[in-house]
Amino acid sequence: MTDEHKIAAEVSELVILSLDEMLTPEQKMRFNELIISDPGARKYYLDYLSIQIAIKHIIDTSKHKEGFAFLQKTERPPHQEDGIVIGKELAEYEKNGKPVEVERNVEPAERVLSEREREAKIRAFLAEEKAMEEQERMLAELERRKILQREIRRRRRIALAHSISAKIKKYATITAMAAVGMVTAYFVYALLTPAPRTSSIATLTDGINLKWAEPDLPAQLNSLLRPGYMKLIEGYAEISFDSGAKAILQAPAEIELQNASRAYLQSGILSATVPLEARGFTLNTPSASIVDLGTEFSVHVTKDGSSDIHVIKGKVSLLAGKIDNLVGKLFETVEQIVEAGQARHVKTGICKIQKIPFNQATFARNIPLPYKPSPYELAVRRSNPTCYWRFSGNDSRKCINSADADRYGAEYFGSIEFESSGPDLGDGQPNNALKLGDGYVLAPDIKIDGPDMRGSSIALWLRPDIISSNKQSIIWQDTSGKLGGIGFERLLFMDEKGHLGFLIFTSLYDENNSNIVEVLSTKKLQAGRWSHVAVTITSDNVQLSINGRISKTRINLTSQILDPDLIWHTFVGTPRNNRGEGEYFVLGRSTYSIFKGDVDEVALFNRALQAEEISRLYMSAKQNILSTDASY
Amino acid sequence: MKPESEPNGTPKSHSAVEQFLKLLTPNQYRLYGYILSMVSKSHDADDLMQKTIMVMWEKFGEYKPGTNFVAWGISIARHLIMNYRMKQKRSQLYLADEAIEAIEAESVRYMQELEHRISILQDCIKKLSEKDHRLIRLRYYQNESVKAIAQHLGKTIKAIYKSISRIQYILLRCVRRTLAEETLL
Repeated sequence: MTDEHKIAAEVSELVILSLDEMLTPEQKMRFNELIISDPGARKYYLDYLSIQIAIKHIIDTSKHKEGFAFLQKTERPPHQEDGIVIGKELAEYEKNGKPVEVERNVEPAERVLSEREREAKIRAFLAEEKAMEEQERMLAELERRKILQREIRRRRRIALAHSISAKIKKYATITAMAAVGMVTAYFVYALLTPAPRTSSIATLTDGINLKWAEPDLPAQLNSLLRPGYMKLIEGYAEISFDSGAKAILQAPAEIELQNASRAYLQSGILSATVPLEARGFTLNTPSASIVDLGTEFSVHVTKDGSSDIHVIKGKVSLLAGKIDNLVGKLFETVEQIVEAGQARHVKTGICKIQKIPFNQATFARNIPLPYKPSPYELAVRRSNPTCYWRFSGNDSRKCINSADADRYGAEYFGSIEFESSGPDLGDGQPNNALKLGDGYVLAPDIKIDGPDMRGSSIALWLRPDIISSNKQSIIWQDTSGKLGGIGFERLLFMDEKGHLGFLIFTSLYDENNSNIVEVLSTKKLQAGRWSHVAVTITSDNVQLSINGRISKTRINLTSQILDPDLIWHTFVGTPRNNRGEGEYFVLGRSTYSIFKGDVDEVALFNRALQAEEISRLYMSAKQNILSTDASY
Repeated sequence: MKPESEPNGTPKSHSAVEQFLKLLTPNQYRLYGYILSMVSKSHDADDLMQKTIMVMWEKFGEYKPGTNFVAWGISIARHLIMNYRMKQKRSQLYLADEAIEAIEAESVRYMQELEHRISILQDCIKKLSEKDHRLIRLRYYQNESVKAIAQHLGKTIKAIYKSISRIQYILLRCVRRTLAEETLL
C-alpha cells in the first residue's frame, strides 16, 4: 500500500469514527494533524463526507420514491431484540421530525418531541384546517374586531402551510430531490406553526391532588405553562389560557397545549369556560374539533378517541370527521352548531354526529375542594347503612354501604338533574341534590337484608316543590308478580296537606281495604324547604320522624298484614323469588303519582334505627339548617 | 418579488414560500455538506442544518433574488457554527480552529460539485458486492448501530468500522475513477 493509500485508508476510518462521535483523544489529534498539514488528507476528508451525504441522499430518496429498490431490502438481525428495531424505527421517525424540535428549541436537540406529541400536533393542525373553514362562515358572528383579526392571521398561517404540501408534490414529480423537499416542507411547516418554547401560553391557576405523568411539569399553582403534551394521571388541574379561556382537566387525561387559544385533548374530561374576549377558543380531539363561540362546554374523549360534547352555555361549532391514519388528516367532515343544553357524540372514524342526552353533572366545572365528609354523612356512616345514595353527581348511581362498597345501581328515568342547592349537611358547603321533575330513580333488584333482621329503616332529605291537591309518591316498593302472584306494596308519600304518609297493602285486599295500613305524620312538610325524614319499621310497628323527632307511631301491623317478614323487609328488599329476583325500589314515583321536588342522602338500614340515632342524624346537620327547617 | 416580513419573521405571501423552497430544495445538501465538514459529527450537523434553515426562512426577506443562495445560506451557517463552537467545550470539538481555517474554503468550493458526485455514487453503490451492500443497508438504510451490526454479524465493533471504512474507500476510488474517465472523454 502506498503512502497515499495509507492516508486515504486512515482518513476514511477517522471520518467514520468522527461522524459517530467515536474518536479517541489520540485519534482526534491525528485527525487534526492530517487536515491541517496535508492537502491530500483534506481532499479525502471532503470526498468521504460527500460519500456519506450521497448515501444519506439516496436512502432519503429511496424511502420516499420508487426506483431505488436496491437499497430497500430490509434485513432483521435474527437475534436482535425487538426493542432495537423499534428504537431504530423511532430514531428514523425522529430524524424526519427533527425540524419541529428545532423550531421549539433555542438549543439544538434540547428537547425531542415524542411520537405521540408529533402525531397530536399533526392531527390537531389538520383538524384545525377544517375548523378554520368552519370559522370562516362564523366570522360574521364574531363582531369584535380583535377576534376577527386573530382569525385572519391564523387563516393566513394555515394557508401558507397548506401551500407547502402542494409545492412539495409538485417538486416530487419533477425532481429526484423529492425526499429533500419533504424534509424542507417539514422545516417550513414547523416554522409556520411556531410555538416558541420560551414563551408561556397558559397558567396553572388551580389544582387538587394534581399529578402529571412527567415529573418535570409544574404542579405549583400559578406556574406558567408552555406549549406541549401533558398527561394528568391524578386529580384536577385548572388551566387558564392567556386568551382568557379556562379549562378544568380531570384525570386521567392527556392534553397538548398548542397556543393561547387552542388545545388538543387526546383523552379524558375537560370543561371549558370561554369568556367573550376568548371566543374562537378551539379544542381538537381525535374525532372532532370544537370551536367555541363564547360558552361553557364540557368534553369527554374516550381512549378510542370518541368524543362527547355537552354545551352548558352559549354555543359551539362542532366539526366531526374521519381521521385518515396514514396522514392524520381529518376529512369528510360534518359540522353542526350545538347550543346550550344540547349534547353530541362523535365516534372515531365515523363521520357522524349523534345526539345524546345532555348531562353536565359528569364534568367538574370548578376545581372541587378536597373531599371531606360532612357531619351528616359521618353520622349516617356511623349508623352502618346497607345502602346509601349520596346523589352528589351523575357518578353516584350506585349506593354504598358502610364499607364503601358499591351496592345496587340505580337507573335514572325522565327529567333528572343534579342541583347544588342540596341541604346543608352540617359543614356549610355546597351539596348536590337530586331534582325530580317528572323523572324517577329505579333500583330494580334491591335485596340488602341482614341474616337476623327484625326491622328496617330509611332516612333521607326532602324538599317538595309544591303541596298539591294530590298525594305525591316519594318511595314505592313493589313485589308484584314476584311472590307467587301476591302483590305487596309499600309507599312513602306526602298527602294533600303536606303530611308524611306510609302505607302497606297487598293486592289481595278485600273490598273493605282491611289489609291496607296507612300512617300519617302529625307534622307537615313545607314546599321549598328541606326536611329530614326517617321511617323505621320493626316487627309490627311503623314510626315516622320529621327533622329528628318522632311524629307518628303505629303499632300492631301484623294483625292486618299477611306476612310479618314482608313488613320488616320494607326498604331493604323482600326475600327473592325463585328466579333470584329482588324487589323494585322506586324513588320519585309510583303507579299512582309522582313527587315533584328534591331528594338527597337516601340511606337504607337493615334494622330499625333508634329514636336517638334519628335525632343524632338530624342534629349533625342542624347547626347550619335552622334557617331552612320545615316548621312542624 | 421580495417578500415582506411580519415582526415574527414569517413571510407573508404564498410566493415567498414557493420561492424559498425552489431555492432551498436543490441546494440543501450543499449546505449540509458545508456544515458537516465544519463540525464532523453527524448529529451536531443535523441540528445545525435545521437551525440554519430556520434562520434562513426568518431572514428570507433580506435575501436578494439573483444572488448566490448557497453563499447566502453558508454565511448564515457560518455564524451559527461559530456560536456552536463557542458554546461547546474545547474537548468536545473534534476540529481545531486551525483545521477549520484550513478546510473551509475548500469545503465551499467542493460542495458546489456535490450533486454530480452524488449521481456518480449512485452507480458506484450498485457495483458493491452483496456482502458490502448488506453492511451499507444495515448501517444506513436500517439505521442500525455499529454495535448492533457487530452483534448480528458476530464481529467486533472495530471490525465493522474497518469494513465500513473499506467500503467507503472502494466508493471513493470508484468516484475518482469515474471523474477521471469523464475528464478524459
